[in-house]
Amino acid sequence: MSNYTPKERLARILKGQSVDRMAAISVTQTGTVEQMEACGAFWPEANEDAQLMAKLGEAGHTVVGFEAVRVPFDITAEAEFFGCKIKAGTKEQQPSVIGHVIKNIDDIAKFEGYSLDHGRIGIICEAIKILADKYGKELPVIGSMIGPFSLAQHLNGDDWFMNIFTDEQFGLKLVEFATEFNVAYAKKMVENGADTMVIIDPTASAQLIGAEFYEKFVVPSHKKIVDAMNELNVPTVLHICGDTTAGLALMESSGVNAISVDQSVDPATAVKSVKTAVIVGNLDPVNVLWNKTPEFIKEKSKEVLDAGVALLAPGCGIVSKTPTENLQAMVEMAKAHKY
Amino acid sequence: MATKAEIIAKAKAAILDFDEEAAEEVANESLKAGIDPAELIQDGFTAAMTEVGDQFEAGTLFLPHVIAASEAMSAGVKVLTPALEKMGSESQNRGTVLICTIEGDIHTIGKDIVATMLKIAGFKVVDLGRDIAIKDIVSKTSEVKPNVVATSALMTTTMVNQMQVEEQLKEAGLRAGVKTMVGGAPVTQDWANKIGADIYAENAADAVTKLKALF
Repeated sequence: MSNYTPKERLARILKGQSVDRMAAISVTQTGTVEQMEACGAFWPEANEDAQLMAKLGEAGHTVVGFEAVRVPFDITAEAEFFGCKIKAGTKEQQPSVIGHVIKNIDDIAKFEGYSLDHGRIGIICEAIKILADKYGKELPVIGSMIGPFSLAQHLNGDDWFMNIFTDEQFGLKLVEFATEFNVAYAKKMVENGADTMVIIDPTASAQLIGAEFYEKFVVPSHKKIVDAMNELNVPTVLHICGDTTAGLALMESSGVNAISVDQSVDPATAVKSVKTAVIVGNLDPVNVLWNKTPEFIKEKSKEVLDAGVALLAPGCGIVSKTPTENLQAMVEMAKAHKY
Repeated sequence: MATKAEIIAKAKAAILDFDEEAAEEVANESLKAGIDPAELIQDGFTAAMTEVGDQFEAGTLFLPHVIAASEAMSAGVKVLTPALEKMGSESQNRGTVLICTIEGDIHTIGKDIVATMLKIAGFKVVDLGRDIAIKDIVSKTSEVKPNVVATSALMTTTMVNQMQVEEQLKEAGLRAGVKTMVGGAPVTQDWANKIGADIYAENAADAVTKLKALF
């Protein structure tokens, strides 16, 4: 009955297979200041050094009790790889993308023929390898990356949202370029030991761009990543921010195994809206996980569990100041849940 | 020569077609025909933008359309600006809103939509941009003397800076003279209450409704 390793358990849950109980994991970022203090690996250094990144990723398991290890903690390494200007992070804050490198269709060619061996994405793969060597037999090793639509936005800047409308040829070409990178990068993470892939595509929201643009610019690229991961037997989780309720059927059409929904989605409605994918979510990282007590978190967890989610998890990245005992309340509720 | 009604209809069509060049053309045509630029903006461009905004709220048009329409409007208004300034005419002004994305946060889309919608609704909007230091918000508030100081935070890690806006405006003795408005994905009414912000806006339409009720 209960002889699944955490690794097997999560894989089965994501594939919709029966298990003994829920797995306690977070598909979104796990780093917190308390974990940094406990393990001695701090942001921003832990974003740039493989050993420190692995150490802080490991703390999610050893300090909090998540039944998985996960890296990285931000979604800027991909844009940084292509030379976008980055605003450095701090101990409490992730780095962010502030400069853009691709203005038009001709700019894309300058970036063709890259090698994945340089930059911070290599460090992330190295951290994955460290974690996989240490925990890979028992625990899921979750790799995450920004999705192609949001990467294209990082590369192109704020005009991106207009360009997909006014310059479709460029829009499609840039998304294709980003997708090829995503597929290659995801494969590289898997080669290094990642067994679960999270695609974080925050701005690829049907709520923002509408179903028509979503179908054209997002679904095909997610499908390519999912297909490549399926070939390697790696389940995929898609996280998109905002109220994605109306877009769930479209999100699912890419074939992802699981959809992580944010706190503005009603989890019961989400569970009813999907056919094959499972729903992950969706405790509010600020108003519940960070700012409330373990008792309150347990109450809220129960509501989300009663809604029928496959995995109880934060609705978005965990806030770095979140107390460990609050996260542990969520972990405890997940572990105690039987389907 | 086209009649005034025809030119205004053309101005509307240019925005609804998301056509920058057409918006510039009709602006030039309107100047030649001696039409009050403020009237062309009000009845032509702004009326069309309102329609786009309504359709965005209704979910029949989306962010790419709103941005493209607002770019077209900006192109048309740019042509009219010298004439407008010469006439010294100001379109209706409900009040001034100082708006920006908070320190540490580089997300602009939501803030831009709010700024656009407020402009359409007749507010004068001073948009400071993104990742704006709290001290700059305070010094701009002292300089511009806005009715509203609005900050957007799109990350759970940056919304804490909205608390700083409240505190530092108070320290500078400016807090009593303004209403503060907060918004952004992780921001809620609870958060606004907690930090003492006057107004929480869930989205652009909500921001417009709440500010219109006050000014």
